[in-house]
This record gives sequence, C-alpha cells and structure tokens, in this order.
Amino acid sequence: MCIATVLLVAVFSAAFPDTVRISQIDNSMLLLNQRVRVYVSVTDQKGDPVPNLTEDRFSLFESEEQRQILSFERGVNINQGIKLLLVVDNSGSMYWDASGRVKNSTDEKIWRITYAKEAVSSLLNEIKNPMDRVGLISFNVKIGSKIRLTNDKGEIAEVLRSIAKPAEEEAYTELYETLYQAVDELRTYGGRKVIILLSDGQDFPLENNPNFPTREGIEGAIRFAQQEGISVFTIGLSARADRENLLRIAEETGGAYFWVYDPAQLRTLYNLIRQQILQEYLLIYSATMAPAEKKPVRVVYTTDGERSEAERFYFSGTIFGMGREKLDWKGFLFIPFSCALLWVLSLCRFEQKKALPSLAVTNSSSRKTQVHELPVTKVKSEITIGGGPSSDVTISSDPKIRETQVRISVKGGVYTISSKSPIKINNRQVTTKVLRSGDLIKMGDTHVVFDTGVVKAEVQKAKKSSKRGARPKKTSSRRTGSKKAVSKKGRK
Amino acid sequence: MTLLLRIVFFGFSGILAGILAWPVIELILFFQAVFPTLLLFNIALGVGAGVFMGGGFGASEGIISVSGVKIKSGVVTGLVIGVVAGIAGFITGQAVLLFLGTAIFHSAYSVQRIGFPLSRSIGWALFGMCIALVHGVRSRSAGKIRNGIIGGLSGGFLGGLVVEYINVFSPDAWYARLVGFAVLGLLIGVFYGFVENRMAKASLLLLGGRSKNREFLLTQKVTNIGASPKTEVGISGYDHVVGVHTLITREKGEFVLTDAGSKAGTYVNDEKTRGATLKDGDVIRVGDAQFLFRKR
Repeated sequence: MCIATVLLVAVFSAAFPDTVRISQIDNSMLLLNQRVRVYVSVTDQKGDPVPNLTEDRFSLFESEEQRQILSFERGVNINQGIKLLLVVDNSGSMYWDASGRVKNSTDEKIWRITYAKEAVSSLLNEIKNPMDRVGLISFNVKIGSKIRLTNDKGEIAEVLRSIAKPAEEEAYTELYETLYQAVDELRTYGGRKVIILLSDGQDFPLENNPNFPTREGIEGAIRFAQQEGISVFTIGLSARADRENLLRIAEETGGAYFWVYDPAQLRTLYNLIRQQILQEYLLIYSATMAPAEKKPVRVVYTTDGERSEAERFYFSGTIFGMGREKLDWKGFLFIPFSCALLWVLSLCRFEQKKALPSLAVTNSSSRKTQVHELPVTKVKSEITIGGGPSSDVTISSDPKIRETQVRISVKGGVYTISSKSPIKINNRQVTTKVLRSGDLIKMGDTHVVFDTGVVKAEVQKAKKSSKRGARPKKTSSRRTGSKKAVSKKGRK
Repeated sequence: MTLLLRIVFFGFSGILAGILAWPVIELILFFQAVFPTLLLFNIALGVGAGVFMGGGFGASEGIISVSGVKIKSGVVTGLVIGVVAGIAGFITGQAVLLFLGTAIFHSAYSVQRIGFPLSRSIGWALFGMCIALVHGVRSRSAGKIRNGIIGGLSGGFLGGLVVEYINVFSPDAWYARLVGFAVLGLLIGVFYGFVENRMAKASLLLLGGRSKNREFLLTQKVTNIGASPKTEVGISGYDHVVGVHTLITREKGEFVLTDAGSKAGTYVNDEKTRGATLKDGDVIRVGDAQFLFRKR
C-alpha cells in the first residue's frame, strides 16, 4: 500500500509546477520613500523551497501595472517566529481505520484520529523556537475545540487529548468551510503563518448547516489562503483517493502533503516549514500613486515556460480618501464665498454707536439686568434710586434697600450721586461723587453701573483716531447733552 | 461682545476657514495620481489646507477683537504656521493611518467595519490638531497651544467621522468632505473659544463707553491693556488711553496690575496706583475706560 501511495503522489505532483506565494507585503516605508517590500516564497511540488532563483524569473504588477523590481534579495531571514494553526478533523470517518474498511472498531489503535494525535504530538516536540506560536481547531459539523495561538505546548496537548468521538448527528465533515475559518483566524496575526490540516480529506457537508451560512467551497478556501499568504500543509489520514483534495490544497497554497503513516517523512514537516521561510526572496519596487484603499500586488514567476502567480493586497488608504472622478469648477466658488463672509464678519463691531446715559441695574442673585435711561437736560433735574415705589428707579427685588436712598442730580451733563448714608461706589464708601462712565454702585445685592453713553459724532471721531494710529485725542468724554431723553419710568 | 457670542464667532469663522480649504483639497485629491510619491502628495495637501485654514483661523482672532491690524497680522502668521502645521499634520496623520490601516487590514472583518472609518478619523484628528495649533503658536501661549490640541483633535476626529458617516448613507456624495471640513473648522473654533473660556482664571468686563459689556479673558501670563490694536485688551474709542497703558501679570494664581508709565495713570477702586494685586470685584480705570475685574 505504501508503494501505491508514493505512486499516486507522483502522478498528482506532475500536474503542478512550482508555486509562488507572497508571504508578506511591507508598506512601512511607503510614506518615506515610496518603496514597497514584497516577501516571496517559491516551493516545488513537494513543498521544498526553490533556492538560488534569479531576478529575471519574477515580474511584478501593482494594480495591473507592471513595476520595475528595484532590488532583489535572496535568502532573507525574517526571524519573527512561525504562527502555526493546527486544524484537526474530528468527524465520524476519523474513527475508521486507514483503509476505510473497518468502520466500527473499538480498537483505538487503528483509528485515524489516533494517528493524527500522534502526528501533532511529534510536531509539538519539534517546535523549539520560543517565538513560535501554535493554535488548534478541531471540527466536524461545526468548529469544536479552539485554542488561540499560544506558546504553551502543554495546553495544546491537553486539548488534543480531550478530543472525543462525536455523536452520530455531528459526524459530518465541514472541511473546506473550517479551512476558510482557519485562514480568517490566522490572518489577524503578523509574521509567517502556516496551517497544518490533519484530515482524511473527505468533505462531507451538512445541507443548510446553520454553523456555516455561506459556502466558500474548496476554491474559496484556497483563494483566501493564497491572498493571505498562508501556506497549508496537509496531513492525510486515509489510504484512499480522498487525499486528492488535500494534495490540491497543499500545492496551490505552497504547502506540502504528508501521509500520516510515514513517520519518517512527517518528522521533516517542521523543518520544511522553517526552510521555506529561510529561503524567501525579497522584491522591492516603487508603488504607484493611483488612489485606492487597497492595492493588489501580483508576482508572476516563470520557470520552463510554466507560470505561477500570487496576488496579495496591501493597505494604501489616505486620510481624505479618494478624490472625485470629475472636478467641478463650481466648487471653487466656495473660496470667494467664504472670503466674502469672513470680510462681512470682520465688519461686525459690537459697539454701541449711539447710547443715552443709562443705569444698568443687575441683581446678583437673579442675574437679571434692567437698563434705565437717564434724562439729558440742561436744566437741573434729579432722579432717585431706591426700594420704594416712589423712586424713579425702583429696585424692588432687593429688600435691603431702603426707600429713596440715593439720588443722582444732572446739571450740564454732569451727573452727581449723593446719599444720606455712605454707599459703595467702585468699592469705596462715599456719600457723594461726580459719576464717570463705568462707575459701579453697589446697593445691597444689587449692582448699578452708570454709563454716560455715546454720541454718534464721538464714535466717528474715535474711528478716525484709531485709523490714524493708537494715539487717542484728548477730548472730554463728558457730554453736553442736547437730546431729550425719557427715563423708563416716564419722568422728566 | 459677550463670551457666548465670542464662541459663536470663533465657530463661524472656523466653518468659513474649513470651507475655504475644501476646493483646494478636492483639487489636490483629484490629481493624486500625478504626484510622484505619497510624501509629496501629503505635503501638497498640507500646504493647501494650511494656507487656507491657517489663514482663516489667523484672521478670526482679529475679527473678534475688531481690529484690522490684528486681522492682517493674523492672516500672515496663520498662513505661515498653517503651512508648516499642515505638512506636519498630514505626514503624521498619514503615517499613523498607514500603520493602523495595515493592522486593521489584517484583522477580522467585523473589526474592519469600524476600524477603517475610525483610523481615517484618527488621521483627520492628527491633521486637525496640527492645524489648530495656529492659534496657540501665533500667540506664543502654552495655554492656547493646549486648547488648540484639544479642539483640533476632537474637531478633526468628529469631522472625519462625519465624512465616513455621510459616505455610508449616501455614497459618492460630493459634499461629504465639505461638511467634514466645516465640522473640523467649527469644532476647532468652538473648542478654542470654549476651552479658552474655561481656562481663563480671570476676566475684565468693560463697564461703560463704546464697547460696554465686552469681556476680555485673561488667559495669558502677561496681558497688555491699551489703545494699540496689538495689545491683548485693545480698546479704541476711549480717551486718555495710550498704546500700552497697563499690564496685568499672572503670578502664582494672583493677578498683579502694573501701570506702564501712562500720563493719565491707572486707578484701582478710584485710587491711583503704579502697581497692585487685584481682588475679585475691583474696578480698574485705564484712561477713561472702567473695567470690572472678576476672578473665575
């Protein structure tokens, strides 16, 4: 049977040329010097790396535009550790014997799963690089046990031991969908990534399986692995032709196929994976500037008239995203539009152009302000401020203010405040004072601000003086009232 | 001008600054493929956005202080700082975006749905942060630089999110980035105004005259009061005020007033003084202008 297998392998292998695979695209230098670094791995049909290739074997395309390879390196050793994800088939057929003839044996030793477990154990023993990480997924009708990537080999071994025979209704084999999920799981990790699939190769899906609502199939799973630069190594557990698909998966993703009953070959597995990584090629090219969120890089490898291609995307987004397909000149109208609005804004002056002399009364507890205009007359007049209703300016909300406490007399535009008891003006206790514009009178909780107001002529004059420079003119701000004003209360 | 109006003004001129930059950005984006490298492309974006947004922001402080001189000097310095900040903003934004984007590119699809818009918004935020520094660097004030960073980061982030959000609901909308820029400008302006308001430990309220009820925030270590439009508290239309009349310095939480040798002198609570430590509620007279000093 051994000989038969070897023959079969040879037959299938002849159909496939060498496989090229992009294991990583590094765009970290893109902003600095426009260079993109592409790590490429070439393997033959057995999964062995093809060394000493020359630059002329490769051509490189970005977004279907051929790019010149600016630099070419052989044997680049990226010491990032390897991320291995073990995918273990735990379907019903895994509890058959290798030939598939004995299906109901209770002898664990002849079960396919037993060999699978042994293969994993021996692989775990080979892993000695502390940077390596291993994860595990077992599956049948759905994904069963799942361990995220770890460097704790004991944890993997423990879960491996706990894998038990599934119930009849769970015994289906969702091989391709699980592989697709495994790629999705592994793609989130950096570095070099490998899937090791242990299965008898029988995809036996459940119709309308709720665990896998969308069907990717073998093509979908292979394409996904290729795009993510993940090589899939397959370990076959069946002596029958089921291995055909496992071979296909391995060769199209740049992995290799192993037969579990050949321990000598299996022992080379880990070493092979390492060799692949040590024998990578580095291609450096200059990126295109066409706007795109992600750009495909396609590497074409030619040998003896045979071609192998690999395509992978890298992120090339810009902050503002893509430009418009057509440029509309009308958009430029926004420039004069906003300039004009800014100019209009700059003309806004929050000044009182014309204001009569006034008293602004603010109650500090209610924060409400009332403005009372003061009379402007040449004849002597007088107003009173107080708490009672007979005052001209009544501060009724404040109980602390006595009736007719304060009076302001006007004569020739000069306002004089007087009070029987001392009041606080500008934080000073006074009984009488000639008021200037902006004087702050405190009466209990109430603040009264006196303002002489502004006349139009004065504003224009001030404008002129500010245009001429910062030097103010020495003119009196005290006004000689000429207009007749009426106080809020309607008194003369 | 009241403080609320001041914030509205900052916000509005921010919107206009954003709108001003938009057509130029669209022009540069349209010609992306023409640029030889990503670096030059980002530098061009930085210059384009910096000239217009920086100029617009520079003008806004002058517009608010109602001073033609301040507008002119603001536009010029804003422009220069804007260009430098714009270039820096785009390069850091793009670098971070490439890094995050690449990481998200290799993440689960559920993460990508949120991750890509988010990382582009982070790019916007970094650009916004640099552009918003125009305000702070122009006035050489550490406090204003901090305001700028907060406003720019949040404004940029929100602006970016708005663009992504519009693109989700109405793909290929021509106005997506326009709205994004307006939001960016608005938030930089409003945040600047708002945080400035919050950070100011004291203020001066004009009690009378032409600019009555206008409030000035004492945000800086040294605040000059005078008739010159270059002073922080520039008052025009008041007699007996000289170019730089009085200055208020902040010393360990206390505000100290010093007369700058003016003829008319400076009065605190109707008492002529050469220098005094200010208390809450003090009435300050500078020439013919009377201010109420308030601690906040």
